[in-house]
Amino acid sequence: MRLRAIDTSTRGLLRRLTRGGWPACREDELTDWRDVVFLRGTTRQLVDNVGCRRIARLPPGEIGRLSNALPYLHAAQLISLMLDRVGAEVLEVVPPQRQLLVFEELDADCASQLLAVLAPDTVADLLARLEPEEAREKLRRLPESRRRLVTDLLQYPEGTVGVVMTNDVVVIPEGVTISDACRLLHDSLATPAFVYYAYVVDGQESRRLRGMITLRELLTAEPASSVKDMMNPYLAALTPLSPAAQACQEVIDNRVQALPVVGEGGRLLGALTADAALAHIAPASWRTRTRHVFS
Amino acid sequence: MSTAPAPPSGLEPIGEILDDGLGAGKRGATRVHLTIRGRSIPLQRLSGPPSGLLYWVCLLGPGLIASAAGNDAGGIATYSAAGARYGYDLIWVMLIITVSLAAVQETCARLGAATGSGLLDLIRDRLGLGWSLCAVGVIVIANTGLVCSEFVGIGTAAELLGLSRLVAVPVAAGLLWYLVVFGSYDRVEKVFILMTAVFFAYPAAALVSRPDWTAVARGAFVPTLRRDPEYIFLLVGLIGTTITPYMQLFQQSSIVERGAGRRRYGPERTDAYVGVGFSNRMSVFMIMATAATLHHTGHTHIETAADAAKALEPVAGRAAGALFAVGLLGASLLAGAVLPLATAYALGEAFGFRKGVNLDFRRAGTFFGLFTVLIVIGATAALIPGLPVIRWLVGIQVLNGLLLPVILFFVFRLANDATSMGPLKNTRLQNVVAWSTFGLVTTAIVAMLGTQLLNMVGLHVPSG
Repeated sequence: MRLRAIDTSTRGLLRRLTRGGWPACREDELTDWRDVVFLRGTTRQLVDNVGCRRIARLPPGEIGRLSNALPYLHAAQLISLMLDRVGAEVLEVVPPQRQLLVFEELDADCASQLLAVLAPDTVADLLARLEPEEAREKLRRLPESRRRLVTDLLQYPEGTVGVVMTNDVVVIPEGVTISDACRLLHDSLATPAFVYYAYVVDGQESRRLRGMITLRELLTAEPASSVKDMMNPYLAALTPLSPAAQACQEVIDNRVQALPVVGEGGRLLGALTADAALAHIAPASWRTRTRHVFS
Repeated sequence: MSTAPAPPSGLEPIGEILDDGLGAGKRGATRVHLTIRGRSIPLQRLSGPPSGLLYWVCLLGPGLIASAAGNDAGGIATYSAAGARYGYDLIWVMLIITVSLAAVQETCARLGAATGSGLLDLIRDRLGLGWSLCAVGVIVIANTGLVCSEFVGIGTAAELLGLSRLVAVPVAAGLLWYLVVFGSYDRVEKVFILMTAVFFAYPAAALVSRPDWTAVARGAFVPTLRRDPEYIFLLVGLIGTTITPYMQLFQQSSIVERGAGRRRYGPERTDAYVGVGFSNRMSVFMIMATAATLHHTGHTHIETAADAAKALEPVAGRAAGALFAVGLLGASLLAGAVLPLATAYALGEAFGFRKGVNLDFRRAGTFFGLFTVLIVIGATAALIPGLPVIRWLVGIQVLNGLLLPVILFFVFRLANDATSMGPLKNTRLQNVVAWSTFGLVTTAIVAMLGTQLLNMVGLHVPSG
């Protein structure tokens, strides 16, 4: 089932007013109001109703749009009934102001589970807008590795690259062969949202940026050759405290999937992806649409 | 763009920032906003929540500006007509309406905070499409009337300034349309607001003309009821212009836009009350000024805007006409762009088509189409030759008053709906105030319709 629209044509209105007495048009294309009317109800109705399972099969964007038409208390109930992964994706599509309202209504367990699967930059955005005490509590409940990523992002002031970038990027050390790199990537590719580029660094600890290699190059290169020979060493980079708007424009003008963000001594901090950049400079009304243009 | 490994400057990641750095309004900065008849206009961005003296300046300053800017053409006409015809006798109505308005606006703010949805969204969601159609019908009728009244206001102000209405109205309509569609309205709007500052001449005029303070006090605290159809007609007009249906829509959607959930509702409640407290200050001064100048000299029937402008003569002398015209023009231009937008938004909300000024024609055709049609209707109505201006303006406010109970019924019913309101549901006290407001408004309307009907069949109700 895919919800395309709610029928507000004259015919559709008559059908609603006569409680189904009026024949429907284009039956195959339209979802009847009766199939989604349960959204007006309380949680218990939601759980009991077949409609909930139907809703869960919709793409997250559609569920997000449906939930936007509901009071935020109900939207929170709807999200808490979904799998964490689906719930997280739905929450990402909800407009920022509403996202906070919906999030605050989730119970503590559900909120923590969602935070653990959401992208670190989304989590940082959410936490920065929560009350400090509550944000601290939520941060404590995050798994250690995620918490580090989120706290790193939280330190940047508004309007800087640091706020827009993601720091959940794929990193490989320069001294390994392609086949070793592929083996290393097997585990580290599971969580990051941005996987098209792997950044080559001098070591896992110092993380000094040396170059970049695309996923395509990595998979097609000779397994015995070294990463250092295959990588693209001539890399443009951004700094985390430069103005976000300008940097986003640079990413888009350069037509790259992402530009790395480096700190002092060339240490890799994260990457500013093209979809984050586009979402940042696009008009507010486009933001929810452009979030997943590329990834 | 810099090239690595050239030394870039920046922050190094730090391990933990659990103790500081979180919150403190770093990313969700506070804004000072101006609320004009429920609509929120962002003014200044603050790095943190204001405290001490600044808190009061941020709270009361915008309220003071809004008290002048919140009077549109219809309001000015109705208050002037009431003051001129009945002197101070109708001031008590304003006091009661202020309490009612506070109850209504606070309820709408609470609905917005508890649900995060607009009023029509909520009506459609909770009460169904049929009721939603009914509410939309009311809003469209009431707002179209008001849009017409704003353009009549523009035409009248232009004539007072010596310009032809036939030129001024189409130019103003085109200008407003252009500003809204091509997106620089936000900046120009501040100029319109500044123009309405001339209404601060009303309190001055009211004081300079030495009103009879005992009569003012009697008018304010001793309700006088007359069986005169004109009296009841003006009373409904006063209700209609003070508690207008679109204000409820604005109040609720501005709370939703600011993202104030039920946890951050406290300051919003204060804000709503302060806004209402200020909004009717100027109306009372308008009634007082016209009563002390026009009514006092036996000039009880206002026919034209030039008559109404005479109330400012004690402070402005010969410039009264021009001063009045500037204020009227500012107020009418301000409301003339906002009301068609609000109506298009309302329809968008009820029927779910794309809405928003930051979209373009191709993406939100219906929205801009409606906006254009409303402006055209308003401008055309204002071009009708020989229009009895004041009578027409007051009539539209009475129409608003007539339609008000429908919206009030929806608002109060929704505020009692535990499923969507949760802990912010109406308390018993709030219900008493709410339903008394509803009762009073409905009684006034029934009385008005009754007297008008008797009048129509030729039975004259003895006044007194």
